[in-house]
This record gives sequence, C-alpha cells and structure tokens, in this order.
Amino acid sequence: MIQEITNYISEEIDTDITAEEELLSSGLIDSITIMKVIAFIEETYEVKVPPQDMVIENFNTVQSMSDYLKGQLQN
Amino acid sequence: MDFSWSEEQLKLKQGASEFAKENLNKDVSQKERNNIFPTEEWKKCADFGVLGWPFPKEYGGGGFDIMTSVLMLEGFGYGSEDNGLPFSLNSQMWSTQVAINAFGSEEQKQKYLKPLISGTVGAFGITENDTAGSDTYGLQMTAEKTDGGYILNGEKHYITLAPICEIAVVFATTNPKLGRWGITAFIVDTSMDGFSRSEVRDKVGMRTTPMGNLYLKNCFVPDENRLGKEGAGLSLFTSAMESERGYIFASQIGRMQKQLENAIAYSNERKSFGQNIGSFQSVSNRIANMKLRLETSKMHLYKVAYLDHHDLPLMEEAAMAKLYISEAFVDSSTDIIRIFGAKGVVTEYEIERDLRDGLGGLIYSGTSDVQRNIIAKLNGVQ
Repeated sequence: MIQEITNYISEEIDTDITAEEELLSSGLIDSITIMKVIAFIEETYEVKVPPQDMVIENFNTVQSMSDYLKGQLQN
Repeated sequence: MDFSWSEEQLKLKQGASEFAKENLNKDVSQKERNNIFPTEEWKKCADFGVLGWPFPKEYGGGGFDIMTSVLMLEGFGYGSEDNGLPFSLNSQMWSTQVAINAFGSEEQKQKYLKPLISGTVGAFGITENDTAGSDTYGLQMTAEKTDGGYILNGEKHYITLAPICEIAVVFATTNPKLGRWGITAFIVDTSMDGFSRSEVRDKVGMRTTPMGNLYLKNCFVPDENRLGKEGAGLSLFTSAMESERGYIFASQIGRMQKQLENAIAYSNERKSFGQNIGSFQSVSNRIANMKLRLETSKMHLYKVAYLDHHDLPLMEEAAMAKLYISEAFVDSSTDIIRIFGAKGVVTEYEIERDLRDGLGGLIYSGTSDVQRNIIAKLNGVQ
C-alpha cells in the first residue's frame, strides 16, 4: 500500500518522495492534487474517504495515509 | 447515463414552474431597480419547500433525489422573472445548507439546518477583501482557541445574503503555520457579541440578492459551533463548492429556456424589410446558438447530478458545469439583446436584465479562470 501510494504521488508531482515526507504542510501537494490522490485511494482500495476525514493528520504523509486507511479498512 | 425523466418528475418540474410564475413575479423591475430583497416571496418559497428539496425529511426537507431536485429548480427558474431570488435560494442551499448537512453534528443540524430549510437566511463567508478572492486559502480571519470556544477576528467581503442573514458559516485559520490545512469552519449568528455586517452593496446585476460584508471583532464562538474538525475547513469548502458550482445555475437554465422562447416568438413577429426578422440568418443563427447553449448547459447540469446521485467523483464536472453555464448565459443574454435591437437595451422591456444578472456568474463560486485552472490541473497540466 505504502509503495503504491508513494509511486502514484511521485508520478503525479514528478518528484520522488518518501513515505515520511510531509506533503501538505510543505506545499508539495496542493488541494487539487490531494483530491486526485484520494480518488486514487478510493478506487484502488475500494474504500470511501468521507470529506470530514480529509485533514492534515490523515493525509500529510504517505505513512499517515496508510495508517488512516488501515483503520478505515478494519471498520 | 440516463437523462430521461419520469412523468412524476416532469410534473414536479411543472409544479415548481407554475408556483414561481404565480407567486414571484410581482413588481420585479421595481424591486430590482431599488436593491430590494423580496422577503415575502422568500417566505413563500420556504413554505413551498424549495429550500429543502434535496435535504433529508428529518430536517424538514423534501427528501428528493438530487436529479429530481435540480430538475425542479430548473422549472422554478423558468417560472421566475427575477433571477436574484432563485440565485439567493440556490446560494444558500448549495453552500451553507450543504455544508451543515455534510459536516454538522446532529445538534447543529437540528439547531441550524432545520430553520434554514424553513426560511431562516444563511450566508457562507470565505472571501476577504485583501487576499482571499481567487487565492481563497490566503484568508486572514483568525480563530484563537480559548476556554470553551474560539475568539474570531476578521472580515468577510462580497458575501451573498450577508446584510440580511441570521446565521453564517465562516472560515478562519486556527493554525496559520499549516496554511490551507489550518483552516476551520464555524457557524456564527447575529446574537453573538462582536458580530456585525455592512449594508447592501450596490452591484450591476442580481440586485434583489443582497450582498455585503461580515465583521467579526473578538467574537466568541462556542466549541459546539465549530463545523467539522479543526483543520477540516479546506475539505468542507471544497465539498460545498462542488455542490455550488454544479447546481447554482440550475434555475438559470430555466431562464435560458424562457429566453429562447421569447427570442423565437419575437423573431416570428417582428418585421423588417417586409419579412419576419427570423428569416434572416443572422437572427436564426443566434437562436440556434441559444438552443445549443441551452441543451449543452442541461447536459452539464444533469451529468453532475448523475455522478452525485451515484456517489462518484465530480470535481471536474462541477468546474466544467459552472464555467460553461455561466458563460453560456452571458452569451445568450447578449444574443437576445441583439435580436430585440433597441428594445433589448431599454430597461422597461426587461430584456437587458439577464445580461446584467449573468455577469456576476463569471466571478462568484470561483471565476471562469479558476475553473479553467482546475480543469487543466485535473487533466495533467503541471
């Protein structure tokens, strides 16, 4: 999961990133790109990300996305 | 995608149109000239259920699915001679109410969504005077955490319904270090100390829709009035804007239908050089273009509603709908003026009003330029 999301984002922003890299607070990803990332996550992992959960705690790094998704998939 | 309508849906559309025609068209020109908000008509619309059509029945809504709702709003716009009142209703529904419905707690929905659906006037404030226009997230309004709530300071400008609203959803930064990810939404109301607003600001069109500023000065907002989580303001705004951009022109499409019918009737009646002006290709081509814009606008509107109905992503489609329909209305409003000639520009014939009403559509809910940026970005432009 971490590798897949990392690869997708790296390709989207044309920059190699790591799982711990801060994406939102650093400005590497803007508000439109994060919507594309969420659409990718929803389609790939067949999970719904409610708009209420789209906060920096859940999406600032690939690692935090993965942690959030694991929680969602368990529910 | 299936855009065929059932008999029941078409009856609802017709009913909305007849309601608007019978109840909303008195003294429109005089109200429009004097920036008068049609309070009585607003109340009639609320009583008829307009503000609740797409919202859950438990909050006083009609519980109609989104496709039926936009079709009814289209019919409503066809029957209304005033573009301002449908705009006010749509603005409140697709921003303020949608935000509270999607992000509000049960208590907030009972306390605020229910009254809004019943006719309380609500505003949605993100735009600011200095930085936060197209650079939406550059906003300066602050929300400082304190015991039991937040202290809000700042101003919101060019806000639809601000001069008459009883409540407002406003956006403020709770953590400036996080930029756009530190923005949080709050519900404020006129009873709160430190809340004030401007008088109606005069503008070129949509003059029956009051627009103005909101001022918050050391305004204490209790924790229970925070809408969504801290830092969820961006997501809330994005979500509300998808609805607003997708649907705010539903009623304007009804108006475009009316324009087309008026243009055809006039082109068949008005004589020039011994023949109907419609027999000249310069006129008939304009009418064909108006029809094309109308049908394309409908397709954009219905596609957004279809995607929404099926819980599919619609950010790009909402941007395209907003961009296309707003520009189509301006173009068709210009065409009908050319068809009517001198009558088109003389105020007493009420033809020119549509063009004035349409101009704001190029700006609010994200300018046409912003929509083009979104579409380009979503298609891979870096």
